[in-house]
Amino acid sequence: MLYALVAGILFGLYYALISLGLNLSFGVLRMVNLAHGDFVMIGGFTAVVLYSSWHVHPLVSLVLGAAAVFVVGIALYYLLVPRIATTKDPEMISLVLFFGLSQVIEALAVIHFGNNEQSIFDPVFGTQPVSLLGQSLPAVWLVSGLVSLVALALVYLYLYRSRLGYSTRAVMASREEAEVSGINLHRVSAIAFGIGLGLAAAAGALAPFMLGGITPDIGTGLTTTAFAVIVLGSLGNPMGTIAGGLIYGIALMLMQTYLPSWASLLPYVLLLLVLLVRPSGLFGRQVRSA
Amino acid sequence: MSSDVMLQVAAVEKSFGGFQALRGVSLDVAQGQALGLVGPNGSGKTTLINVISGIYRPSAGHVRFLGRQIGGLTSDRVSHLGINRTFQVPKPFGSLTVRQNVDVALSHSRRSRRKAEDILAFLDLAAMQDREASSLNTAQQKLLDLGRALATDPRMLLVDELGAGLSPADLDIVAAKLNALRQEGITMLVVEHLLGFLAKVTDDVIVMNAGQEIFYGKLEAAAEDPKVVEVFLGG
Amino acid sequence: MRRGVWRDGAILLAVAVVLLLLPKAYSNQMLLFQLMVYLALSQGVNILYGFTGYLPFGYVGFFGIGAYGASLAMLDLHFAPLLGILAGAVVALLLGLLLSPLLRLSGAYFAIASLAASQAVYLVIANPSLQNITYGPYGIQLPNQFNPIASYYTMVVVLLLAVGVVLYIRRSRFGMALQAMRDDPVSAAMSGVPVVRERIAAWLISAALAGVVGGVFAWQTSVFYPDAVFTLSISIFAIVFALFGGVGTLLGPMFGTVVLFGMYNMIGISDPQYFQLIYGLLIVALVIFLPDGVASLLRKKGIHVL
Repeated sequence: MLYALVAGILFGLYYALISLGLNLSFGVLRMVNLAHGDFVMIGGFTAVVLYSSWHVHPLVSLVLGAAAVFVVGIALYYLLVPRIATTKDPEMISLVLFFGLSQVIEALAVIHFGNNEQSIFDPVFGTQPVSLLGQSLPAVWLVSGLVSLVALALVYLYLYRSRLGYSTRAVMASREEAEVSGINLHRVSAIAFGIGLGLAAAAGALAPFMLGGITPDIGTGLTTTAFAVIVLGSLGNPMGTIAGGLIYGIALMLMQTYLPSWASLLPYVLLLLVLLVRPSGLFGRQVRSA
Repeated sequence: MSSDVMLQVAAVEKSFGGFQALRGVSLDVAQGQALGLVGPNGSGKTTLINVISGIYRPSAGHVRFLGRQIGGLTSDRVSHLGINRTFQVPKPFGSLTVRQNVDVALSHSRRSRRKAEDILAFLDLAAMQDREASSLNTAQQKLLDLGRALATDPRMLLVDELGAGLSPADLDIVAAKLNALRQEGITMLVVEHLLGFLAKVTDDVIVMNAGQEIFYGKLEAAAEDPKVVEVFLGG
Repeated sequence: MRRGVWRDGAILLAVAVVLLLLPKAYSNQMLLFQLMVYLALSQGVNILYGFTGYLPFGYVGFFGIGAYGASLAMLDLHFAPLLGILAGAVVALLLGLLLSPLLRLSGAYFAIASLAASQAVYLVIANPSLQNITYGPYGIQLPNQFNPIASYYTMVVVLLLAVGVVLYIRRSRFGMALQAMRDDPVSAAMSGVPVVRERIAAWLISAALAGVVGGVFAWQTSVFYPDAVFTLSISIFAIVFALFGGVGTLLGPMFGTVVLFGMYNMIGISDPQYFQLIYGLLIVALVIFLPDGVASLLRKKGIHVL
């Protein structure tokens, strides 16, 4: 029980890292990036390839991958988003657009890496288990928990301690008012979108250890899980994601301990329950219509 | 309660989370009356209209229409009972034609004996009946909003800032239309900032502030009431 | 009004003639069957998204549960195929009723919640723990019912029914109310439209339609795994086909399905990843260059699409 709880917290932080970027880009763009999980997959393959080719340490790959994907994200933003922002129903159209993008990424990954699962099997984080609260856990779980905390702290500093972060929060509160008050909507949005994808790629670098392995098709499932996590913690509020991640992580560990054959249902059921019972998440924001 | 009271609002409260928008509002509207409702922004006028028209459920208190409890009924049922309204920002069905906007309400009304042609002619919209509603200007959309409400053949109309944003010439036209409707026997509750417009279409006014009624009487008398003066001139 | 009825009748007749003659002109009946499946599903999406603005990403859930409802009714209750398909439709209808609270959600929340619901249904049905009831991950086999000809013509009837429903909605008070609600639910309610009831009605019609199509699909295929009838790409295909042609019209989704389905089959599915790549690119290109559908292009030129 305690083991499940401790493991749940560490995995919860990791899921918060996976999900945070999706929440950031949703908060700013008001669009759900259905290709989010595919950028986790890209981050994962980056780590695997860099390690197997040049023995680059996964934590280094994490930074490199996140930076590269950040740049790609900004380019993608300018390429895609402004064009659909003017359509009749951008919120829905964007779902279809990002689904298409996710298919392209997945297909390219299959063409490049094949369908087999790939991972890093060398004990790059040591073979010694670490003891935490009397529980013996793989060291990499702790590392991943710490990395997640650092990433979450960086996002917090960006949002609450930087000028651009201030503008970002203004856009999250109201796109219209932010634009009227002279904020460059596209610039702020593009950077938030880039950061969101960068975070996904960063989480991906740890995926070979936390999720067991990388296949090209993990994206869709991860996107749904991430969506469940951010809805749990309240959409549009990036910091609520931590709470959502922790709840999800602990629930997942408990399910895997006591009801393993139903554990895969968890994200979907949690998502439906939260949306129907408490649609504002843990912190609150109107999501229902009339 | 006298027998000719049409709408009775009794101690109605409405709060959103921690914010209390209505703090026990009571008012009666008599059959055939045209009652004005004024007050500074945020005083709860539109919230009250939303409660009466079934968009919000009151947190406490009663709303009775012709003696029947209507607080908490959905808008479609309120509309069937004979109350309708216009919106401060007009809300037409943008992708439907002007004619279809009126037809939707006509075809869902259980009591209407009106005809789309008559309504559109009365509102000077007949010539544009095949245009998409989203292509109308604001003044025309406001009239169409009124037309959609009329199509349900209401006994009572809640008019929410119909005058805002209209030119002086349009204001006179709209005032004349409201008076004509009153001649037909439609009771009215009129929310309005423009006092000149209000004077043309109502007899008495209620002044609200911070979710409560602070004055009831003639519009001219309101201007001399110390509480009203304080609210409007700031204190 | 009277002329409209004749015109609708003529359209139905024309569609029927084309569908009945197609097998004579083109011999790949399985492909034609799939085409009809998507023609019907894209009309189902059209009913919901085109007329109410709700985008059902998890639409495939109704298709899958219809396929399973029909199959289990045939296998366990020994229903005749047509009766089994009806049972599948009823199960889909019940699922729709169960999920109708989702309609309280707006925009993307609805889209993704419906996606989650369809995946939850899939994971329950494919769960090894329920193998005694649903046959679990090993899927369904209906060797005794296999009848490609009869199932093909049943599908023709179902598709005509779908077209008929859309034609009816387009000219009825119900359809006008749906479009009014899509534009402004508050004004619609104030006009006397029972907004919640009408929206649920559209949702259930659309759910039952997918359920029937799923049932006929199960009959035609007669051997399938759970992921074959619950794969998200069925939802996405139906949505993209409908969007490409233009929702809110009858011919838009039909045109979209014929053109895009045809294109996909010309690409061929010998290399699934290249297929996926091309169809992903097509979706992106479509959304970027033609977000409001072909019908909107014609409308700008003053051509009214039925």
